[in-house]
Amino acid sequence: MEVPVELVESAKAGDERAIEELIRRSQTSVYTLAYRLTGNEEDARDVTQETFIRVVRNLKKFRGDSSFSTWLYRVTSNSAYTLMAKRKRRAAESLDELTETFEPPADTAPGPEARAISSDARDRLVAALSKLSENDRIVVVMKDIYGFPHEEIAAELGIGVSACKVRLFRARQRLRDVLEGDGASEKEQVS
Amino acid sequence: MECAEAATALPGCVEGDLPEDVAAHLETCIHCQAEAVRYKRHARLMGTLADQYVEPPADLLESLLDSVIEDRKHRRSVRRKAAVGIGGLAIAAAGTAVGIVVHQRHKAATRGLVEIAGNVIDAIRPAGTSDLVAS
Ligand SMILES: [Zn+2]
Repeated sequence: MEVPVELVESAKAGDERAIEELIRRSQTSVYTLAYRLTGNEEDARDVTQETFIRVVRNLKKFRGDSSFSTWLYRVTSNSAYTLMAKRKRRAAESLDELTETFEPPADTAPGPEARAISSDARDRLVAALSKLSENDRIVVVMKDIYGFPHEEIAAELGIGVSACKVRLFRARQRLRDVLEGDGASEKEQVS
Repeated sequence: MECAEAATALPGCVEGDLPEDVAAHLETCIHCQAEAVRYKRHARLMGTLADQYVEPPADLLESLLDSVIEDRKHRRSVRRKAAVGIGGLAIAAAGTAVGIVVHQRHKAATRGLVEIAGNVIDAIRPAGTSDLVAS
């Protein structure tokens, strides 16, 4: 995502065209993170919409202490978490329903490293991610895909850093179980 | 240490965040070493998703722009209503002030009163709300 500082400044000043351009340039990044966090198209859409409303409302508060994209990702993950928490409160949808309706995303423009890895492996990974609980998925997506520090993820989820690590490790274990099958390690030990 | 005990902390091998006893066990256990290799492989694979963009639905941009514009409009109108509210308060306050003035100067000519009331309203009207108070 390329969002020049000048564009952010113009958008902050209330320039409608700059705001439009800013949304145009960053929508794919925001949608991608939203999709990774929620695991489905409909929620990713809602999260993206909520994110940009919040971003535009709070642009004046963006001081440039972090990069614009970091700030944007922070707002995105916060919007996703809010949506999921709200849903949990209403208990409107079960995780089973979420995983049943999951469809692998249409990926675009892979980088060189990503190209070297078979798309099959990535598809399996994305499918495995969808099998995690929302709480586990948020932690592992934010840490292992986007590289957020433990402290920030913990603050986002309103839990302590050690609880956050426990959740991350558990999420990695579940991913491992889904990707390798529970018995993989035993088989390997025998051979 | 047993493998089962080490298992809970083992995913920390991705960032080299292992308790001493687990790290010591890992040194000597082929089974856990294989597990560590898996965790690191998965983490690397996860990392490659960072630049794997998911193409948003074709109509998303338009609906984003619509909702943002709608929200800005809505917020502007809320602000305007709030300003009108302040204006209304100002008029009410002016009414009270006029009442006091009338009480104090009940012998003054009607023309003088209107002038005084006008001055009171001008004095307490918040800056920038004149057009809103008028509407
Ligand atoms: Zn072991």
